[in-house]
Amino acid sequence: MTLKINAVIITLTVLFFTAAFIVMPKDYFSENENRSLATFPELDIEEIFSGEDMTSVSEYLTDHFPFRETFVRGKTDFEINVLKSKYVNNIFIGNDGYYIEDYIKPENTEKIIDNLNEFQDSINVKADFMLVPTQISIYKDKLPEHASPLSQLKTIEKYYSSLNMNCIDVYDTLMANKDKEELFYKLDHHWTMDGAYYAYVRYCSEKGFVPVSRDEYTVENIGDFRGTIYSKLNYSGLEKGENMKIYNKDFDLSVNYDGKESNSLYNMEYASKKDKYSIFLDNINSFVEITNNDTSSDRSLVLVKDSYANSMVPFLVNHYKKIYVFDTRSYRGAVSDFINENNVDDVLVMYNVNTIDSDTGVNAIY
Amino acid sequence: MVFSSLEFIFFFLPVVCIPYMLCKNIRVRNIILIIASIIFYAFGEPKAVILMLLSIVINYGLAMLMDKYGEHKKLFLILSVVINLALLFYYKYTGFFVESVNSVFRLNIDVPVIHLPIGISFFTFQAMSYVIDVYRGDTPAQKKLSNILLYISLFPQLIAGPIVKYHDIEKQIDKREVNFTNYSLGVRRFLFGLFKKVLIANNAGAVWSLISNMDHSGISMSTAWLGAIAYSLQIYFDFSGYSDMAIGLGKMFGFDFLENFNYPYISKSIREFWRRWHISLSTWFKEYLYIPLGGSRKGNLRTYVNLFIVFFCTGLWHGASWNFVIWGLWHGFFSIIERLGLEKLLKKDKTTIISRAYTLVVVVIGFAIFAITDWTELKSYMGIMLFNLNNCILDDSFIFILKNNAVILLAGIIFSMPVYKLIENKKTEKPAYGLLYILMYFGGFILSVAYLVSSSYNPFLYFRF
Repeated sequence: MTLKINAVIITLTVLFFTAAFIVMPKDYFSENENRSLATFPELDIEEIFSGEDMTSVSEYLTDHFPFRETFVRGKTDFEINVLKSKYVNNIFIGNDGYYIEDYIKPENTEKIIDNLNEFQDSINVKADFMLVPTQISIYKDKLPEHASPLSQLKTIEKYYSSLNMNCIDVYDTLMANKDKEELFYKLDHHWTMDGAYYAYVRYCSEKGFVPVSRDEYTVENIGDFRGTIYSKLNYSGLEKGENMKIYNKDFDLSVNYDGKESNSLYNMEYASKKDKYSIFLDNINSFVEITNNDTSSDRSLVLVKDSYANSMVPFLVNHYKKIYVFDTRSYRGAVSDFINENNVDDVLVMYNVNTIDSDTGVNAIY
Repeated sequence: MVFSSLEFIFFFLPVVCIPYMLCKNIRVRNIILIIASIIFYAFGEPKAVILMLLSIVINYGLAMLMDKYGEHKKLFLILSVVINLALLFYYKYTGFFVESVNSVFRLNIDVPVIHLPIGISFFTFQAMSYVIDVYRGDTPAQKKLSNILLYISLFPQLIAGPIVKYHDIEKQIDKREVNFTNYSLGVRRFLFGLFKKVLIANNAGAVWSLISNMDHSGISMSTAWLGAIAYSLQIYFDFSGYSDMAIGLGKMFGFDFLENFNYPYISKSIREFWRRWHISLSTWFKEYLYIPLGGSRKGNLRTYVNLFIVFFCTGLWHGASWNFVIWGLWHGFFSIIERLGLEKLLKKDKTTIISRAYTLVVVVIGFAIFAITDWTELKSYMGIMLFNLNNCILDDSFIFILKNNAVILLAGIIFSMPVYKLIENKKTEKPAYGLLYILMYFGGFILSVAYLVSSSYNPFLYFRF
C-alpha cells in the first residue's frame, strides 16, 4: 500500500511540475545571475544533427524550470544549514558575517607576464603596476577554521619578481588598515572605496604626490547593495544587502565614456539597480577620457585596469589634468600606440589578482 | 539524454509513460518503446542513431543467416564478432592505438579525432550476446526485426547498462507483466538510483575534483587518500545509481533486468568483489570470453593466462587509455594471488576485518589508478598515497574538506552497506513507518530536483571587467 501511495505521490509531483512549466509565464532575464535566460531554439536540420539544438532545448528547460530560484536557494540552505558546510558554490562561509570567494588556481600567469613585459618594452614611460589581493588574502582571519585556500601572495610575488615595471605592493597597506575599516564588501567581490583609498595613498607615496584626505569629500550612503557574492551564494540567510559608501567632491570634470559626454565619475542610474558597483565609471566602457578642469597640474595618466580601479579614479583625478582609462576586456587596439602618440606622463596598470588571470584582453595591449 | 536530468524526468518520461500505460496491446507498447528509445538516443547522439540502427540490422541479418544455413554458422558468427569489434575499435580505440604505436615505435602519425558515440560499448556487447546465443543454440534466431531493435535500443539500458544478455530477456519482449505494483516498484527503484546519483555521487565527485585539481606538490597523504575514497564512492554511486534507475525504469515498463551491483564494498576478497561489481559485465566476459577460452578447466597455468586476458579486456573496455588497462591488471593480479593461496589465508580471518580492509585498500588504490588518465599525474598521486612523497601525513585542507563533506561521505559509506534492505522490509506497512517512508522519498525527490536545477544556476560573475 505504502509503495503504491508513494508512486502516486511522486507521479503527481512530476506531472505538477510538467504542467507548471507549460503554463507558467517565462522570465527572460535573471537579475540575480545578471544574464539572459535561454530561449527556445529555432529548430534547424543541421543543428539537430550536430546535437546543438538538443543542448539548447535542455538549457531552455532548466533555465525556465518552475520555481527555479526557490530550488536553487533551497539547495544552498540545505548545504549550509543541514550539511553544515562552510564552503558552498566556491564561497567560504566565514566568521562574523564574512562571505569570501575562493581563489581559483591561475592558469595564465606566465603568458600574461610576457605580455606585460612586451608592453613595457614598447612604451617610453616606466609603467607602474599594482596587483591587488582580494578578501581572501586581506580577511584571511575571517575564513572558517582549517580553510587553506591557494595563496594569492605567491601569484603576486611571481608577477612582481618577473615584471620590468615599477611594482607597487598594496598588501601591507591594506593589512594595516583592515580592522579599522571595511576595505572590502562582504557580499560583493570588489573593494570598498575605503579599500581603494588606501591603495591610492600608497600610489601617491610612490609618485611623490600629497594624497587628498577623505575629509574633503562628502559621503553618500547607498543602501541595500547585493553584489556578486550574494548572487553566487543565493542563501536565504542573507536577508539584507549591505551599505555602499560613495565619496563625492565638487570637481569641474568633463568625462567621455566611449563617446558619451558626462560631468561625473558616477552613473547614479545604477544606484536603484541590483548592479550597484557599476555606479563607478559607468560600468564597462572600453575607453574613458577624463579631463579635470579644476587642477593646475598638467600631468596625464593612462590607466589600464579592471573594475577595481573604477572606485579609485575619484581619488586619482585630483592629481591629473587628463586620465585615459582603458578596459582591456573590451578595448580593441594597442594601448602602447596611444601612449607613444600622446606623450603621457604616467602609466598605471592595475588589476585584482583574480581577474588578471581571466582577462584575455591583456594580451592585446601592445 | 541522461536519467538524472530535468528533461528526462519531467518531459521525456511522462510523454512515454502515459501512452504506454494507456495502450494494452504489447505490440503497440513495443513500438512506443522503440520510438522513445530512438528519440532518447538521438537527443545526445543524433548522428550515431544511424550507426546503432546499422549495427542492429547487421546482427539481426547474420543471426537469420546462421539459422538458415546452419552448416556455415561459424562463419557468420566470426563475421558478426569481427564487425562488432571493428566498430567498437574504430570509434573507441583508434586514437589510443595510434598514440600507443607512436610512442612505442617513436613515430609521428597524426592521431585522428573520432567522436565516441555514447553507449557504443554497451550496445555492441548486447548485439554480440544475441548473435553468440543464437550460434550456441541457446535461443532461436529472432524473426522479428522489431524485437531485436527493442532488445538492443531499449532506452533504460542503452547508454550505461546493465548489459542485458539476450537469453535473459528474450521472452519478456513478447510477454511481460505491466501493472500498478510493478510500476510502483519501478518508481521506487528509480528514485533510489536518482538519490544515489544526484545526492551522493555528484557531491563525492565534487570532493574528488577539488582534491585532484590541487597542486600535487602540496597535498598530504591523508588528503590523497580522501580523494581516492571520494572517487571510489563517486564511481560506485554513479554507476550503481544509474543501474538502479535503469532497473527501475525497466520495472515500470514490465521488464525484469538482472541486478548489476550487490554491495561490492563489503567484499572479503577481490574475487568476491568481481562477483558483486558490474555483474552484467563480468558475467558477459565470463560467459562469452573466459569460458570459451577454457576457463579454469585446462590446468593452472592456462587459468592464469585466461584470467589475465579477461582482466586486460575488462580494463580496456572501460576506456581507451593505459590507466584502465593497468587498473584491470591490478585486479587481475590480486585475483591470481588469491587463487594461489591468499584466499585461503584470508578465510582464516574469522572477524573478516582484515579481509575486508585488504579488499577495500586494493579497490581504492585501484580506483585512483582508474581516475587519473595522465601518466605523470598518476605517478605523483600514487607516490603521495603510498609513499608519502610530500612528507606530510595530515594538513589543514584534509580536515577542512573532511568536515565540510562529512555528512555526504558518511552517507556514502553507510549506503555502501546493505542497510537499505533494513529500511525496505515489511515494517513500511505500519502507518507510522509508511508515512516516514513516503516523506523520505518525497523529500529526497524534491532535494534531488533542487540539485539538478542548481546545476544550471550560473551567476555571470565577470560582467564588470
